Amino acid sequence: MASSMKSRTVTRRRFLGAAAKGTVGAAGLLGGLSGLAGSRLARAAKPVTLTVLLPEHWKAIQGIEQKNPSLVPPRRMWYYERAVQWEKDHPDIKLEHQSVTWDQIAPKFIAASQAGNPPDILTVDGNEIAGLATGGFLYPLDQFKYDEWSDFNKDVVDYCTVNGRIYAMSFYVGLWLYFVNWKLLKAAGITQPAKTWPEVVSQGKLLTKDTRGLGRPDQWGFGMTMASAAFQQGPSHLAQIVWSLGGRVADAQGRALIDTPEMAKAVQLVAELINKDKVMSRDVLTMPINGQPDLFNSERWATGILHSSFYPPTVAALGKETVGLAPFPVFPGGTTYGTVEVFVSAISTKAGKDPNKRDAAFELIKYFGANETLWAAAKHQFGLPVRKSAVKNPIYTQDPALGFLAQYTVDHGRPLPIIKEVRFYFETLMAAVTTAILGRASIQAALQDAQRKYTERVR
Amino acid sequence: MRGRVVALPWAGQRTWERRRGRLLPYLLVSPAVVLVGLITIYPSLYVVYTGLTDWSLQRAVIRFVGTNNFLTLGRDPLFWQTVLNTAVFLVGSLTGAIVLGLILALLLNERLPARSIFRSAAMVPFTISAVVVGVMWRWIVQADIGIASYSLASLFHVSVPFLLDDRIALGLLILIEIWRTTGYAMILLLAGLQGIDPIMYEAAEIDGANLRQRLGYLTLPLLMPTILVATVLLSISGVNLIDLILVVTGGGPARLTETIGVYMWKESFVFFNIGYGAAVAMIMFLLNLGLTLAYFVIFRRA
Repeated sequence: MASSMKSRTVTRRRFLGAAAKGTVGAAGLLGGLSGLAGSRLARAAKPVTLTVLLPEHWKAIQGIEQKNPSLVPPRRMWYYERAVQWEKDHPDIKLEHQSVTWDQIAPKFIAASQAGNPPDILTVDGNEIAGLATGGFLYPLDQFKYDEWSDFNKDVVDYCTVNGRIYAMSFYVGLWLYFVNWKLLKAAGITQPAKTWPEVVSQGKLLTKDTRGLGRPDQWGFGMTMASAAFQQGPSHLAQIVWSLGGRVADAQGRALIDTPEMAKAVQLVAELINKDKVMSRDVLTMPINGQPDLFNSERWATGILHSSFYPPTVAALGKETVGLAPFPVFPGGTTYGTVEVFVSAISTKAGKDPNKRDAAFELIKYFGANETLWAAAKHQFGLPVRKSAVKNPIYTQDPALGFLAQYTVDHGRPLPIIKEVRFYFETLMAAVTTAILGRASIQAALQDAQRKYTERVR
Repeated sequence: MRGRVVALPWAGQRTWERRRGRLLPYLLVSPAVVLVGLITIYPSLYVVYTGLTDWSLQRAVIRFVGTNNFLTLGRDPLFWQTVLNTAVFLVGSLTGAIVLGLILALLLNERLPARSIFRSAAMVPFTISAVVVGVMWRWIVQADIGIASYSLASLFHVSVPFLLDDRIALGLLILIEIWRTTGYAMILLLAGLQGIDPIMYEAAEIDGANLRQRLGYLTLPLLMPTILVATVLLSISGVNLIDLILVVTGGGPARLTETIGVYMWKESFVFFNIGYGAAVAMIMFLLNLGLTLAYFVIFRRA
C-alpha cells in the first residue's frame, strides 16, 4: 500500500512537472509566434485606431458614426466635415470618438491616464495643457519633425509650451467681445456701440428697463458673466480689463497676480456696474455656464460680453441686422484686448510612446491644426485663425463680422498666460469678486485674502 | 474504563470530517470576503495612505507628508466653514425629513382612500436622480424666469435672492433635501409602524389611552429603532451629498454654501489635489462614524 502510494505521488509530481514544463514551453512558443506575427504586422503597417476625446456639447459623434450630418448641430459641422474627410484620406487610420462634458475633459483624461488607458488624442481648452503636461500625461509635439510652428501666432504657441516644450497644437481660437442688440439700441436712440466703460454705463442706463412692471428690471443694459460656475469666463473678462489698464494677471513664473491695483480697479468697475450704476444684473454672479446667448437672444441683455462662437446662434435667433459686434470696452485712453480661448489637441503620453500610434497621432494633430480646419471652423462657428497664412483666405473677408473678428484676434487677441494651479486660481478669484460685490468684504480685503490663499496653495 | 481514550479505526476520518465541517463556512464566505476586501477594504486603506501624501494629479512626484494635510485642513477657515455648513444642513434636513416623514407615515398608516397611491407618490422625489432634482429646483428659483422668482415678483413685488444670499441658498438646499428625502423616511417609518402589534393599541384603548398618549407612550418608543435607522441612513447620505449642492448652488455664492463633501470633491476633482482630498474624505468618514455612534447613544437613552 505504502509503495503504491509513493509511486502514485511520484507519478503525480512527474506529471505536474511535465505539465509545467509543457506550459512554459507552449507559452514561449506562442510568445515567439506572436512576436513574429507582431513584427510582421508592424512591417506591413497594420491599420491603426486612434481614440479621440471630444467635448460632449459638440454632439458630433453620433453624426460621424452614422455618416449623417443632420445629427450634428450646425456650429459643429466643421468637425464633422473634417472627420469624414480624414476617413476618406486615411483609410488605414480609423478614429474612435469618446466624449465627456467640457469641464470634465481634463479630469477624465487624467483618470484614464492613471488607469493606463487614456484616449490617444485629447481636444481641450488650452488652459488645461500646463497642468496635464506637468503631470506627465502629454507627449511633447516637438519630438516630431514639423516646420510650420512659425506659421502659428506666437502667443498661441507660447500658450501650449510648458518648460520649453510644445505639448499641444491649436485648431482654432475664440474670444470674448462686445455684442450689441441694434434693435434695442436704436429704440433707445443710441447710434454707436459703447467704446469706453463710462459709455457702457450711460448707454446701459438708457437700455435697462422694467418692461413687465414688476418693480425690477428685466432688460439689462449690459451683461458680463462673473459666475464661478462659468469657470474661466469671469477671470478672462477681468484679465481683459486688467490688460487694458496696463496690468498683468500672472508673473513670469506663472504665479497669479490677484492683489494688484489693476485687478482692484477691474473688480470695482464690475461692482459699480451692478451696485451703483445698476446697469448689470446681480445674477451674473450665479448664472450657469454659457448662459449668455440665452440672455442675449431673449433680449434680457441689450448688450453684453459673449464668446465669438455665439455669433452664428445669436444671428439665427435675432437676425443679422440686429446683432452687432464691437471691441471689448476700455477705460478712456486704454487699449482693448480680447482674451483668446485657445482650443487645442494633444497626444497622450501612452500614444506617443506607442510606435504603432505615434506617427498616426501626430498626423491627426497636424490635420486638426491645418488651415482647412480653421476655415471649416470659421465657416460654421466663427472659429478664429491661429495661423498667419490662414488669414489670407477670403472666408475671413467675405463676411464683415468674421473679417472684423479675425482682424481683432490678430490685433488685440491675447490668451491668458500659463497660470499655476489655474483651476484653484479661477475659483479663488471669483469667490473674492463675489464676496466684494455682495459687500461681504472690501475689494482690497477680498483680493488680499484671495492672493494669500493662492500663494499658500502654490508654495 | 473511565477517562480512557479508545482509538477507533475510523476516528481519524471523523476528525478530518469535523475539521472540514468547521472550515466549510469559511470557504463559503471567502469569495465574499475577498470581494469586499478588494472593493472596500483595500480602497479604504489606500485612501488612508493617500491622505498622508501630497499626491497631486498635476505633479509627477508623490511625497509622504505625514499629517501635513490634516494640519493644513485645521488652519483653513474654509474647511471649518464647510463643517459648519454641513452641521446646519444636517440638522435642518434631518429634522425636517424625519418629522414630516413621521407625520406622513402616521397618516398613511390609517385606512385612507387611495393610500397606496399617496405612498407611492411620496416616494417619487427620492427615486429621481439628485442631479435632476437639482436642475429642476435651479429652474424654479432662477432669477426672473424661475416660477418661484416670477410668482414672488408678480404677486408680492418681492425679489428673493435665492442663490445670491448664502443664508437663503443654504436654506433652499435644506428645503430641497427635505423634499427629496421625506418620502424615504416615510417608507422606513411606515414599515416600523406596521411592525407594531395592533393588539397593543387595542389594549391601550381599553385602558383609556387617548391618541396623544398612544403616540407618546406606545408608537414613538416602539418606533425608536426605526427612527434611529432612518436618522443614521439620512445622516450619512447628507454628509456625503455632493451632486445636488453642486447643481443648485455650485457651493456659491463665494463658496459659502459648500459642505464638507463638496469641499472634498473640489479639492480632489477640480483642483486635482488627491492627497488633500483624501484627508478630507477621512475626516468625512470620522464624522459619519462619530455621528452614528452619537445617534446610538442618544436613542438608547431616549
